[in-house]
Amino acid sequence: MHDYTAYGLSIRSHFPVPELPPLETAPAHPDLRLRMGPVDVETGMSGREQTAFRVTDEHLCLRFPDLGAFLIEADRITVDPASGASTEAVRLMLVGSVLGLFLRRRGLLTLHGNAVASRDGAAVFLGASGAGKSTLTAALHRRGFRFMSDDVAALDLSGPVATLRPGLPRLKLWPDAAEALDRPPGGLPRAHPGLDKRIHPVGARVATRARRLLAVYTLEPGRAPSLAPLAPADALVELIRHAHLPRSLRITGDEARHFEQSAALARRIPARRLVRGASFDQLPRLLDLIEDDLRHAARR
Amino acid sequence: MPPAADALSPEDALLLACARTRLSPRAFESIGRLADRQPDWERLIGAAARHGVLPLLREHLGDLDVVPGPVRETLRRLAARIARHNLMLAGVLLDVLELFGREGLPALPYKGPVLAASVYGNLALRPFADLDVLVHPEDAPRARALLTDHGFRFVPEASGLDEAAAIARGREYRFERDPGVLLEVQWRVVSASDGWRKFSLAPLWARLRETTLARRTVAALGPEDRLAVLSLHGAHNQWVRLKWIVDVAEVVRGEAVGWEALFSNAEAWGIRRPVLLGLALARDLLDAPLPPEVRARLDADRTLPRLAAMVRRRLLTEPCDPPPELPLFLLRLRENRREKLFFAARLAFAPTPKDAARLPAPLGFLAPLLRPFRLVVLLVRRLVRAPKKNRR
Repeated sequence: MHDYTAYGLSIRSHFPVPELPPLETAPAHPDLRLRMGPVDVETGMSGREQTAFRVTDEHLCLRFPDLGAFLIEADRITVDPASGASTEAVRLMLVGSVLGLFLRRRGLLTLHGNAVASRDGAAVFLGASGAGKSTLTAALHRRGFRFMSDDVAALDLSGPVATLRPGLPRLKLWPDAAEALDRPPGGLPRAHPGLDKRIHPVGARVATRARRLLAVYTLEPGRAPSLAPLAPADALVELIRHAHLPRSLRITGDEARHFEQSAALARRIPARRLVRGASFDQLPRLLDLIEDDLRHAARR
Repeated sequence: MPPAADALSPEDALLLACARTRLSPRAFESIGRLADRQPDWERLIGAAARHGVLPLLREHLGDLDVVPGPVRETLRRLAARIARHNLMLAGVLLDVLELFGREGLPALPYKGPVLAASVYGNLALRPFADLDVLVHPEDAPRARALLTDHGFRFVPEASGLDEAAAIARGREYRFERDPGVLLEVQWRVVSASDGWRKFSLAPLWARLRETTLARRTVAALGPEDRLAVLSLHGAHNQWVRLKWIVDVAEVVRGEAVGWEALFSNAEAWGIRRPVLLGLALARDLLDAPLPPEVRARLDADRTLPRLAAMVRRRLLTEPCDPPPELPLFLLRLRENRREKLFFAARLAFAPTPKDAARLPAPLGFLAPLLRPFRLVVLLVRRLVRAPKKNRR
């Protein structure tokens, strides 16, 4: 058995998942069990050619043609790889989209974004693919912020303050961003087959516990770095738009809850529109803006 | 003149009273009185949903004690569903505009989220089923390629026209991304076959303005062009949805309309009467405040009352989309005899995509001949059915 932790969950796996951080002390009752086994993909499946799915109150079943099937239940994920599927590709799907859907079924608000934390709390950066989230995260990490998550930001809104849970200690970077941040990409695994985006281990300064959320930023391209507040109604559009796997919300029946949670978050947490500059040289100015803003948010 | 509340059913009176974003103290009191009469709530909610004004109904009735709790709860639930859908579509629209922006493809979102945000002041208050984005005709193929590369599925038209013919004769490409996410990329507001030969979007592109959607700057129509386009769209559907009239009324109430510019453009485009009709409906049904010179223009057109009566009859009775008398309505909208003749000839001989789809491709050239026969068959069928209906 292998014991891991991610997103505040204790995870016990029947097979090794090196992408997940190991857990030193094995809990008696893990929050999530991972196992290999057959998954019924014949009964009641619907969906497009690329991804077939079945949703019931008890489970969510997904089938990807080249990877295999995943059955997500209340405290268990069963993996049924397709014959000939790359083990690494199956694991990447498991710790990415599939784990994200599991977190959503557990009631967390999952956003497509990156997160870092200062001493005061966490910040989430939302944006379309290619907006520069990972580059910004790497730059903030180099400046002394703790790394929290890449790609999936899992927020717990059940308590009196919104908190962000730490994800996997890895960061996906394009080669030019990696070079600019002194992280040579050579030899590192690719984030997706056919993409030159590489998965970088984060190493030092990784958050290991949930942090109070201070602010949410939407990241956009632009000529010069700037930061402007977003009204709650505008922030709500961004939170809905940048849901993790937004196109699955309706299919899995999570749309209404995502809406309610996003509305609650937009009311409680300041949101900002962050324009990144056109070049890497402008990164320090952008980082200054964010640091100042987070200091203000912490004093609220 | 506004319809007297007594002449309307309690449901229609309340529906019209609620169909606006802001209420005067007098209107607020009037709504309270109408609600206190306990109309048929189910019928009212059904009509509001059909007419696209349910969020406005919720806005004005949702906190009134005289409205029964279960009705308020139904209104809240249905309005929340519309709000979710609108916000989701607004996000998709931003994705599309960013994609087109990155590729240097000019795009104008002219209804849906932009209309809701800039005219209603709230994305959740105006239901929209799909997204409409205008592009230049020459950009339509590139827009189609970009969208299909980015997860949108092209929904082909039944006409089977090739790309050049579709752009020359049609008005839009339709795309679907997920269930409930429909996008129409349009290069015309009305089809070439609808007539309005003088109407062109070229001058409209030259005087675009900017607005914000979720703090993003997006291209938008000025109030005069917005009124012209909304009027043409409403007219082509015989204004069967109240929300289209509310759109016009809200532009009139909330935006600084340059009336001279509006009528000068409308004359040049040959759409004076559709514009006048939109304004007349907004004034008569929803009390839209019009300046005296505009009211004088409305009073001077003797055909308008007949057209407005056709709209009202359809609007406040059974839902029917499209109405059977639509061709007659569209004919009466033309002021110029030549335009009327041209429209009648198009109606009789120009094949619709449906006509073209009835023939195998090699016989497509026969479609103009098939069209008059189809119209005769339709007419005979209607004549045969009418007496039966009357007997019932």
